[in-house]
Amino acid sequence: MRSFLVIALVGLTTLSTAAVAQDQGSGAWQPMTFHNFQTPSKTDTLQTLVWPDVIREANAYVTTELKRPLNGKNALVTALSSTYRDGSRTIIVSTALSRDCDSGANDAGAEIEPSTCPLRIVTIEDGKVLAIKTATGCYADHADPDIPAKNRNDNSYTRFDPAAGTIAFRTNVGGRDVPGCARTYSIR
Amino acid sequence: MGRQLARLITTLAFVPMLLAAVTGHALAQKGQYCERTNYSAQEITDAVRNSSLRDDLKGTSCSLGGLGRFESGGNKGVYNGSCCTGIFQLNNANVQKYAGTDRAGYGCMSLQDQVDAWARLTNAGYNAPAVKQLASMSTFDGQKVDASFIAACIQLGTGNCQKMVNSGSCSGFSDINGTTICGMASNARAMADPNCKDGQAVCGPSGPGDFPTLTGFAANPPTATTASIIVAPTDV
Repeated sequence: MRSFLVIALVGLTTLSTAAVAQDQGSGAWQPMTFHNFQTPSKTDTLQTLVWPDVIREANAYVTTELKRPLNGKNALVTALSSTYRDGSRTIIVSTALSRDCDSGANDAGAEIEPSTCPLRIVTIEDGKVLAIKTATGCYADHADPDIPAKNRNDNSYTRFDPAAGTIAFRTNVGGRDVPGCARTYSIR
Repeated sequence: MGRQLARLITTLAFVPMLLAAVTGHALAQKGQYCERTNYSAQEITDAVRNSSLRDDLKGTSCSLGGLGRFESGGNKGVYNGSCCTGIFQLNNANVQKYAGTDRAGYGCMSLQDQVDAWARLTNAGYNAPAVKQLASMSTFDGQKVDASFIAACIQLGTGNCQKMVNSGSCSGFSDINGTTICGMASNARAMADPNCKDGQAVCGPSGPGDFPTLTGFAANPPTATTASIIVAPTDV
């Protein structure tokens, strides 16, 4: 049991740091991978190409507004991503939890809601960014171990349709898809 | 020593939750981070007045002390077992965004630090379309649109508040427990300290003399040769 958990954890860690590209046809929903940017990286595409401005802004907020030192770390910024390969191109879909998100109710009687956040679709070829599309998308993660059992699989999912040039997006919170989070983005 | 004690209290508070996780019970349990507190409405109001909250909302900050009591009973370390923690029950995402920490770190912050994070969230929410729409109304569905109403709109989420505004009715949005924005505002007013005295609301510019300038008029009067209107001491 313990070795299974270790293998599972190693597998998750590898996925989250490498953002492995997947050649998938349409039809398969892919759970988005959770990322925490607190450890700075010069090789993580999400930090260097997709969200560098958001990380910079969050760092500035912590040091100037919250007046707290970062001690070589980044501010607490988290993101979800899916990576697809389309011929020679890599397509990254990502949404980040930043202060530009609308994050639902703050109330003793409330439950976990998804945040509506900036979403970026970045097309990369030969290490160069060809296009960045911006939109909004829902953010929900289950990184917190103390959340209720029904929320422990909260996540957003994407599905790439290379023929149509679209990425479908949905978010599941508390075991149910959130109707307002269902979107389809064109990548062309 | 104090920090070790606080950590022990935090750990003990989550023992039931850990047991539930181990045994597979699908329980959403309320939790307690660090010490249990019972801040009064007046103490919460005082923290609001010491925060960076917009002056126009501070003008009726007595009801915001009531809002803190309504949300947490004055217990700054309380976690509702799902989304929300602290004196104003900030949700996990907003804790990350406006306090720069996680839920456990937030629950152990001082009252003032928690209120400061809430004030930043509320100030940011003030720019949302739903809030701007509400702020332009004197009443909504028969309810007075005051600071507690605006704060409740932001408290329950500006997206949720927009649903209420679009519906034109207080019942246009309610959370899973049936709490409406109108109901929350009403509770906040009712739970304010009865002896609390609201300060003078700081109004926006209403005339030429009220407009803010980089250099104060009285301290830096224009010279007589550049002034367009010259008032002699006898004219005053």
